[in-house]
Amino acid sequence: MKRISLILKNDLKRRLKAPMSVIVLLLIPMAMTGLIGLIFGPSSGGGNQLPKIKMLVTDNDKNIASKILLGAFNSEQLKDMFQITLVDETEGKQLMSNGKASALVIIPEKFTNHLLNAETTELQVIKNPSEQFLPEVVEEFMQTFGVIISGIVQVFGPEIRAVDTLLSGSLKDVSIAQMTPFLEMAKQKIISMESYLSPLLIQLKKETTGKKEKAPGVNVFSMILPGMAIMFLLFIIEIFLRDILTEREDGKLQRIMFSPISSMEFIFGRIISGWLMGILAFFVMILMGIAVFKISWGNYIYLLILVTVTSFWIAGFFAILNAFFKNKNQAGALVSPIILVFSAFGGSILPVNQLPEAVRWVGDFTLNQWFIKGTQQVIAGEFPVVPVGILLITGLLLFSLAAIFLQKRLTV
Amino acid sequence: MKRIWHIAFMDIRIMVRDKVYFFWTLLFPLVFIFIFGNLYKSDSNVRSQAQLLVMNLDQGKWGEYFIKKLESPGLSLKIIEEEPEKYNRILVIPGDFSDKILEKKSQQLVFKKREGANIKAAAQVEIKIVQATAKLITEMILHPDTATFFDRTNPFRDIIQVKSGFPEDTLTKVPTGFDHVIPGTMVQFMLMMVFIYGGISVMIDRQKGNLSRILYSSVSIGELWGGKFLGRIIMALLQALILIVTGILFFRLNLGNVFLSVLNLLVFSVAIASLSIFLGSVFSKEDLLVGVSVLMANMFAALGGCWWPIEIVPQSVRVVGMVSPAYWAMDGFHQVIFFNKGFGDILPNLLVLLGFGAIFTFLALKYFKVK
Repeated sequence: MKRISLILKNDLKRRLKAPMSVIVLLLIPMAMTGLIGLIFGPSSGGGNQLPKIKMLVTDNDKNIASKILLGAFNSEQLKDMFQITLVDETEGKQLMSNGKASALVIIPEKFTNHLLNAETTELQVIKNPSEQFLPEVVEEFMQTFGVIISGIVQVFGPEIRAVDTLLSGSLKDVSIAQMTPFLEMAKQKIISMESYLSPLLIQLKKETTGKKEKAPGVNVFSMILPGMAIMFLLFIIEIFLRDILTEREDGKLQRIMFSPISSMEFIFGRIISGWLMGILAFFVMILMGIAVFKISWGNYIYLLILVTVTSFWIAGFFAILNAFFKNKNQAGALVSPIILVFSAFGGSILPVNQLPEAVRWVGDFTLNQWFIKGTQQVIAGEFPVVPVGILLITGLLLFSLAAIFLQKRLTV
Repeated sequence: MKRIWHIAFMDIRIMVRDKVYFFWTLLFPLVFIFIFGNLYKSDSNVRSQAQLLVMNLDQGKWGEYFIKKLESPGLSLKIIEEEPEKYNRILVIPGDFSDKILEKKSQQLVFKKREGANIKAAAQVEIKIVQATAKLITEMILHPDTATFFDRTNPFRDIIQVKSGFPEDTLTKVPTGFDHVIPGTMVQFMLMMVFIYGGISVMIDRQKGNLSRILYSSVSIGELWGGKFLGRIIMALLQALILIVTGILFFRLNLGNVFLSVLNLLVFSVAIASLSIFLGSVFSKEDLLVGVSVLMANMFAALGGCWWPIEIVPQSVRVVGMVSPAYWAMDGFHQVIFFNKGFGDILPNLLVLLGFGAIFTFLALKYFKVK
C-alpha cells in the first residue's frame, strides 16, 4: 500500500509540474459549452425561440386584403417574430438573389379583387436557399393565412361581393337602405357562427409526454456540459494511463521492476492514479460549471458516487486497452477514434434523441450515455441507480481484466 | 520549386501512411455527415414530412373526415388503434367526436408530443391541425345542416394558394440537407487535419532534428518553410477531395460552380496552412498541441457556421464569427452553391481569407524554429 501511495504521490507531482495539456483539455469542454449555450440559451434569444425572421414583402395589390395581411404582421405576437421590409418586386428579387432575407412574399396585383370574387389567387414565397428553417416558417405562416382568409371569403362571399358591387359606383350614390339587406345577411351569419367559434368547436389540447419536472437550477449549460465533460475526461484519463506504455518504451518500467515493487502494485498504482486524477479533473469541471455557468449539480454525494464510478470505469477501460496496444503510437492512433465514436453515439456531440433512430441503440454501449443519464438524474435530485450499477459492474470487470492482462504484458 | 515539392510530398506521405489517417479523413467525417445530414435531411424543394400518428377513437364519420382534412404534403399520417409505448407525436380524436360535432358542442382533440422529439416537426403538425380545423369549421358554417353535410358538392376551396420557390437564376440544383452539411463538415475537418497533423509533424521534425538535417542539404530555409507550407495546403485539399468524392458518390453533393468551389477551398487552405506551422513551432508537447488544435478547430468551425445553420445564430454571435476563417469559407460556399454567384461576388471572401493567411504567415515566419 505504501508503495502504491508513493506511485500516486509521484504521479501527482509530475502532473502538477506540467499541467498545460490537461488544462487545455479541461478548457475545451468549457469553451464549447459556453459557445453552444450562448447560441441556444434563452438569453441569446435562442433555444426554442428563433431569431427575428427577415422577410421582404412586395405589395402589388395595395388594397384592403394586402393591408390586412401587412397589418397582421404588426400585431404584438408577430412583430417579435418577423422583421418586415416593404420592397418593390425587382428590388426584392435582387435582395433574395443575394441572400439578404429569409423569404420574399409577393402579393399579386388584384389580390383583393380576386378574393372579393372568390377567384383563386396565388401568393408567391421566394425562399432563401441557403437557409434551412426560417423560410419554411414563412411558408407555413402564409399557408395558414391563406386557409383562414379563404374560409372568410367563402363564408362571407355573397355579402362581400354585393357590397363590392354597390361600392363599385360612387359611394355617395349608395344609400344605407341598399346596404342593409347585405349587412343583415352578414349579421345573421356572424350570429350563427358563434356556435362554431365561441367557444371554438374543435380545440386542441397539447400534452407533452415523458416530461420531467425541471429541477431548480437546471439551465441550458447543465444539459451540454456533462456530455462535453465526459468526452474530454476520456482524453484526460487516457493521457494518464498512457504512461504505462511510455514507461515501458523508455525503459523506466524495467528500472521500476528492479525495485521491490511488484508488477501488481505497479498496475494498481497506475490505474488508481488515473482514477484519482480523473476524479480531480471531474471536480475541476464541476466547480467551473458552478462558477462560470451557474449550474446546480443537485445532490453532491450522488454526484461524487457517479463521478467516482465513472472515473474508475475509464481508468479500467484504458488500462485494458493499454494491455493490448503494442506501443504509444498505436495507442495514440486508436484511442482518439474510440473516444470520438463513443462521444458521437453516446450523446456528447448531439443529444441521443436527435440521432437517427437506426443508430440510437449504439449509445447504450457507451460510457458517455450512462454518464449523461446519470448526471441528469443527479441534477433532478435522484440517485442514478441504473447508470451507477452498470458502470460499477462493467468497471469492476474491466479493472479485473486489466490487472490480469497488464500483468501478463509487463512480465513478458 | 522541386525541393519545395519534395518536402511537401514527404509530409503527405508520412501522413497518409498513418494507420488511422482514413478514420480521421473519411470515417469520422462520414459519421458527422450521417448524423447531421439526417438531422437536417429535408430537401428544400420537397418540404420535410412531419410524422403524425392519429388514434381515431371516433365511432362516426366525422373523425375520418377530419383526418382527410389533415392530409397534406407536409404531413405523413399513420392511423393507429392503440397508443404505442414509444412515439413522437399522436393526435387523439375522441370517441364522441362525431356526436359533439352533431350537437355543435365544443370539444378537444388531444395532441401529445414527446419531450425531446423534434420541435420543428411538432410545430409543423400543429399548424396542419389548425389549418384542418379552420377548413372543417368553414365547411360547417357554409353547410350548417349536418344531416346533408356529406352530400354537398362544394367542399372548402383554397382560394389563396401559396407557391414557393427559390430566387431565379440562383440554384443549379435544389439543395438537400447534405448540401448544407457536407461543406460545413469539410471545412471543420480541413481545420482539424491541418492543425493536428500539420502541427504535430512540424513539432516532431523540429524535436527530432529533421528540420536542421534538411538544412544541411542544399535546401534553403525559405524552401524548407515553403515545403512545409505547401504540404499543409495539400493536406487540406486532400481532406476536401476525399469528402467531395464521397459526397458526390453517396450523397449527390452539389458544389455549384466546381471551379469556384475548389478555388474557395484552395484559398481557405492557404489561409490555414501557416497557422499549423505556427502551432507546430510554438508547442513542444504533443498532447498540448492536439488540445489547442482541437479547441481552435472547433471554435473556428462553430463560429463559422459549420455546426448549425447560421440563420438560427443570434446576430451578435454572427458578428463574432467573422473572426473565423471558416465563416468566410462557408459564406463563399453558400454564394457559389446556393446563389450561383460568380468570381466577382466571392472575391471579397477570398481576399479576407488571404488576409487571414497573411497574418498567420507573419506569425508562422516569426516563430518558425528549426531546433
